[in-house]
Amino acid sequence: MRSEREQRAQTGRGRPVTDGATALERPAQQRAPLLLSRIGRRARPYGLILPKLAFFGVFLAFPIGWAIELSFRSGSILGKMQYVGVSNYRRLFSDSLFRICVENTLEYAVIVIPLVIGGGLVLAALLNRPIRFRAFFRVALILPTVTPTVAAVIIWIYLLQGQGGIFNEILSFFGLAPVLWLGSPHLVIPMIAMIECWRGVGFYTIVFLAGMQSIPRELYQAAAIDGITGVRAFWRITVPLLRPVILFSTVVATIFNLQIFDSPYVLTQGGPGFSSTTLVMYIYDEAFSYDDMGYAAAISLMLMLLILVLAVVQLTFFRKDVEF
Amino acid sequence: MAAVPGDAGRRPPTSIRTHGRSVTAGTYVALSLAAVLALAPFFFLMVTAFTHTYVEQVAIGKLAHPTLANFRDIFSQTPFAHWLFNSFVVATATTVLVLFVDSLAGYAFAKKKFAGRDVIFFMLLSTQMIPIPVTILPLFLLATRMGLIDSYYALILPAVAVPIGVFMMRQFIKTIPSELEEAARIDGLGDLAIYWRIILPLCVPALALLGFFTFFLSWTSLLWPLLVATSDHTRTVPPGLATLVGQYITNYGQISAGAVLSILPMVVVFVLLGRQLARGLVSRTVKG
Repeated sequence: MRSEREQRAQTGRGRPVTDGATALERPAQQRAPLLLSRIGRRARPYGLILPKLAFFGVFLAFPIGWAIELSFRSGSILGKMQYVGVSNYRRLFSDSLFRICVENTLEYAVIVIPLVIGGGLVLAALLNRPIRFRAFFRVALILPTVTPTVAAVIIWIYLLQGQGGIFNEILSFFGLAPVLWLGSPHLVIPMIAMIECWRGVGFYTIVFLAGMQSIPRELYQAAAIDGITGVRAFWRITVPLLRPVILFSTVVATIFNLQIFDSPYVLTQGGPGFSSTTLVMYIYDEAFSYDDMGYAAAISLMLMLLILVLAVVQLTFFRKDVEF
Repeated sequence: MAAVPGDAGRRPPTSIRTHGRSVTAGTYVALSLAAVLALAPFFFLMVTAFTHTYVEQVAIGKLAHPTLANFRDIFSQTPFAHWLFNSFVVATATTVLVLFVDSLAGYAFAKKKFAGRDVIFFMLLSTQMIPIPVTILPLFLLATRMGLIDSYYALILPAVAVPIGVFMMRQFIKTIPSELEEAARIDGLGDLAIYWRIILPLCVPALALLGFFTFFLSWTSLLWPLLVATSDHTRTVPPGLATLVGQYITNYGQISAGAVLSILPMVVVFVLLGRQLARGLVSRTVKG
């Protein structure tokens, strides 16, 4: 083994220097006179990706296929699930609760995504200035993001409660009547969306800040000579150069926010009525409370379609802008 | 550079150091306001956790006599210690597995040439847009049939299938000069040795970012543990805390103590890894 190594090392060094990179690759090829060892060498990269492919195949790719198959079936988890054709999909069209859930989910997303992306950009631009205590501000802003949603929601239950909650204490200080923040059908989604913004904005701030710090300072110096500073530099240098990062973040935010589950599940259980029920909560309920896996699978595939369509729309819409 | 009115008392910023952007008081005011909004809820959480209170009112006045009673009670009156232990085991195991499996695959995708490489890579990545709920239903059936319900395996294994880490590691490893690898090969190192001794040590920022991300996702996960962690033997902190909300009369002091304890590890990890995370993130956004 050792002599083989030395040999290889010698043949490698013995090549003329002018041969460059190929000189370094050749010894490995020369060393494969036997077909078997050649196959072994060819197979080696597959060995490196095999563990990932195994996990991916069993716990992601296979379940996706199974979900599609499930959506054509109906019946109990423990019993036999019968093939029912497209009836699950047909049912979606007449299901008013499904429509409510789509609307609720989109309402969350429409409030949250622009606020976290816009807010993240502004905060990152401020943090990117030569300021003191930057480390403190960064940790402060990211804290709501790294907090487990359940823990974060526990705080907000407490702050938003009807009697004694901080929000209503503030109202009563100004002589106003208390508000049922989570008990009113019109307020519940905006309130949960606000909590989601509070949780999310720090994440996008950190991502944008990292992007901004990679923009060459010379650009700002050159612009400053032309008198372009501050807000104008932000619009004319930072935003255009950050466009790929903004696009990426918006797609991520879309994928992420359309799957909102944790906070409404713990805060309101979807109530009052169904006014804060989201698509994922509906999937959860159909599958595990009403024991209808097939219908739940059909809803989940509709959610996938929704995410895919929105992501593709964003990618094409933004990309047109990027080309200049 | 024109001096900003009202800036006279301060040292004028040199135009090179600040590259034409002056830091005004407005920047600090805006950032402080944002920090206050971000942190205020935690302040009230701490007040509740450290004052003995069953009443549903924030009692700031009681802060003069802080108590650890809530922390004592949550360990003695609920299975919180179990949940905490389970969360640590699951998040740590998931993170170690993901880091190993993803960096290994990322190395192959970044540095190796093999038939079908780009097809396989695209296949992995294309599933990134597929929402978790799509796979959760079949995964539940799979876990049931494999007898994994109420076991750590059910909590750990599906999380290792997520493909984003392979993408992150590949992007980072691509930036490592191939000369290093070739030199090591001349010295007789095999693929695995190169991976272990050359690639991994150079990947620390990317590993830190991916590790933090994976640990965070596992630590905060609610939906999947709700389904498969059916007893306190495997139940993690988030579903555990969720069972305390609205059970009997909500004991805010006790739940707040639990919430504080569930936040603490993430804060510690973030502060410890802060610098590495920033580096991993920069290389990712620039080169990604």
